[in-house]
Amino acid sequence: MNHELRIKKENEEVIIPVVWTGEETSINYDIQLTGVGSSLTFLMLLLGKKEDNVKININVNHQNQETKSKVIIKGIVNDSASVDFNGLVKIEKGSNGSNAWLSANLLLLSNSAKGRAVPALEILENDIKAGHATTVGKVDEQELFYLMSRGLSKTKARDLIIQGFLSGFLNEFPDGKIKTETLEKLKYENV
Amino acid sequence: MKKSLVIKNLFASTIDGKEILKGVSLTIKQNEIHALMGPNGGGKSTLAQIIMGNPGFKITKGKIFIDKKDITKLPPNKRASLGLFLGFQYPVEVSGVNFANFLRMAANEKKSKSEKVSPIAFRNLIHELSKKLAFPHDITKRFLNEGFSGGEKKKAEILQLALLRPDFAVLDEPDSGLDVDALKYISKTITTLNFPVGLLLITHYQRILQFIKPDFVHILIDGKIVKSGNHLLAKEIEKNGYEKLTNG
Amino acid sequence: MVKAQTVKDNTYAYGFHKKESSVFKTPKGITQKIVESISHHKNEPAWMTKIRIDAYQIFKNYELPKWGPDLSGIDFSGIHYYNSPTNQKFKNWLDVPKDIKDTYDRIGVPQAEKKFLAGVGAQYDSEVVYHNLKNEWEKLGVIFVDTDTALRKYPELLREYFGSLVPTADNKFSALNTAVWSGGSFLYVPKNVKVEIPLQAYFRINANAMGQFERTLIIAEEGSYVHYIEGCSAPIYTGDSLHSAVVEVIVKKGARVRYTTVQNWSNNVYNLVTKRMWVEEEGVGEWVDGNLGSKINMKYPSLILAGKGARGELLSLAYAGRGQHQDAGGKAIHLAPYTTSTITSKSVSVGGGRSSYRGMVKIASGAKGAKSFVRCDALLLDELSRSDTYPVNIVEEQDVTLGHEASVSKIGEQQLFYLMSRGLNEVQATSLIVNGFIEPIVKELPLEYAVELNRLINLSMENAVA
Repeated sequence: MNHELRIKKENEEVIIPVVWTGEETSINYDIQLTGVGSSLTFLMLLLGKKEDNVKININVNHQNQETKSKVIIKGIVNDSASVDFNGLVKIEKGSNGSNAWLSANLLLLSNSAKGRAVPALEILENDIKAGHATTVGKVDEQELFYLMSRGLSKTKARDLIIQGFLSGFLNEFPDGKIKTETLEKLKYENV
Repeated sequence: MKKSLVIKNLFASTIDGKEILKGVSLTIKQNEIHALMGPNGGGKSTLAQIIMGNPGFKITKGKIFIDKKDITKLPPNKRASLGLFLGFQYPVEVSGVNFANFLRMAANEKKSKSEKVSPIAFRNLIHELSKKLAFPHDITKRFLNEGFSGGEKKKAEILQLALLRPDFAVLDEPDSGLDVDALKYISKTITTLNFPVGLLLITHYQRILQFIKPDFVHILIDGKIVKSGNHLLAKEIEKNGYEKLTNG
Repeated sequence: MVKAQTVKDNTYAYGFHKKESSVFKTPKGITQKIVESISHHKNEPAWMTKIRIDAYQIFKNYELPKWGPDLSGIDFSGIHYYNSPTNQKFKNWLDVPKDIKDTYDRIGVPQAEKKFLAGVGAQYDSEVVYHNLKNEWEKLGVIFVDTDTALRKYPELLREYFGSLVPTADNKFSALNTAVWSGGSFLYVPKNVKVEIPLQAYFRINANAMGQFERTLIIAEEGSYVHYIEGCSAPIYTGDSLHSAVVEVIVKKGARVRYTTVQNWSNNVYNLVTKRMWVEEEGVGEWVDGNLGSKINMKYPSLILAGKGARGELLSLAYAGRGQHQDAGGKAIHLAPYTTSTITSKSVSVGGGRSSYRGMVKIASGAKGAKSFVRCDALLLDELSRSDTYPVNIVEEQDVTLGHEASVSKIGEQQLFYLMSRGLNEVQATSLIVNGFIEPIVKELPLEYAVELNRLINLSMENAVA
């Protein structure tokens, strides 16, 4: 799946929501911000199970002033699924006042789940703010302990944490159905 | 018949082998207030965590009983269902999990279907308690401990204690980091609980003991209880410190 | 005592007795014959000669890496790959460029050191100090000599570990180093010995102080501790254009090694280094890596956490000024359970410099309970400069925690305003902020380096902000 997009109108705001539930094995996005003040919000939800695997390439290129990008990837990787995420955010010279944020969080739920994340940045303009954060790992043990100490079973505690991991994120998807469908897929109580 | 929380000759170490508790024995009955004091690094917090079953530690010898049931090898949630509660020293933040919903789930765990509390009724309960503890804003809209100040986190622990109505509560330094007002609210809530609870108050400073009078005081130094007494022992420590006991 | 003479190239001073009796410098370029002649001149055992020859073949057939900075400017055939230490010629102090002399003045390099650094004069007046220290560590059973001497005196020990962490074919430049290496440090610390005084590269007198193709080997036996320091924050003026060192450090069970490097080669140097540390059960490995100089610097100190509970830490500092490309970072490979790694990288780019962080954290299957945290921050001081981050995170084990954070920004206007409102001018304020930014790394450097480094930054700010 290859997508190319140029956001060229002044102050144009684009939201790209993507949900992966195992079908595709390759997802590519190449996005250029060429309009002054244009902005991109890229939300990607990954739900991998069984033997699902996917290689993802997201390129975001800031080519004008005051451009903004927010790329957020959240993934649940279960069974023997694997996710290979490659992100490159580049801010070209002259893109003063631009902001870029890239974050990728992968939760590995089983012993055979695997994750690879390379969130790269290339910055050629100094009057900007850019950052990224990545986490890959299992559900936090201390969080589990805290919830279990209040009487919740390990499974319930884990489900609650996973739900919490996704909930704020799911609220950002413009299509409310995505939230309900995802929670349904994960079989959680609708809270 | 009053229940007891019994800790019998407990030896415990961290997961990577460092021994912290070297033979601790303690019996706490419902309606009793015990204070556990001692210098930093002596093992007080570790004892609290171990009673609740924190996976970061392992018990090498000894047992723990609630109401004669052996809980030494039980997971934390089973201990909770048997009536145990731990007020954490550093409550962890769990993002995205709504405070009220989580607590309701926890409260309903112990109840049979017909007894389960409805969301609305529960929210009212929380609001009532929030007011009593003087929370500045609506806690039900927040995520579990996320963005809470240190004092708010401590108050939130006590709010949970009041809501969950356990038989035994271990409170790990409930007073650290609190201003005087917060300390008063917390103390008042604890002393006016309307159910019989056995309390183990872990405290480094004696501040909270000015508001909650303990029936028993124990001093834990270097993994062992070196002395036990009544509230006068706390006053003695306040005057003379722990030095005499360390050398004893 | 060696007389000072005017000279064209290689400018390092040393002046102590050396075993090789003849003067020897290979012609430009590299061929199998040249590699053989180096080995024969050094009177090496046949097995080392063979290693060199095999390495040369591998080097010859290796292409330049397709990633990273542009290395097409290296003229492999124009380099003298070996120049015996007895052939060191010395510069006349008058020939040392003015800006270098000025820098030494400004950053407060002591008089004796100035000449040493600029390649003038034979000795770094520390013979007495050196000998006392040498007695101390010899009493402990510590072996600390240059690698050439180690090959002569402890061949079996060296043979056991040479190439064990960085095999010849690891990359083009490790192959080159294996073929033409000379000098470097050999450090062996016996079981349970803790060396309290940091051992510095320039202590191992009797060899070229800072060679082109150094080969360093450090072995820390169980329960031992040592801190090794090399390099200099003052700029080193050199005619060599290619520096390619290999460093292998073995940290055995319960041992701890800290390896501190500060390099500030002049802006004509390509500095391409392969550094690897193997850490066994409960061992601790620490890299403190200061990258200030060279035209192109490629260096990724690696930590291989091979035993249960092994810990690794990397503190990396990169400063890229005009015409410089710092491609630095590091790797942490978790092979065993309950291992932890922390990587902190701070980079500053100014005047058109480019600073890139290139890192990898890999947690292999079976490394249960592993934890890794990487924090890389970049400061871009002007619109001419560039910063990149290329972090690779691979997790093949579920029961782990891996986190990575990075930020890129310029100097905060509010911070600048606040400091200037207290009476500092723009240069002072900027220097303060930049020094504050790199403080977490600088505080781990020995005091003299830290002081020189801070002054260097101040000096650089003057040039940049002006």
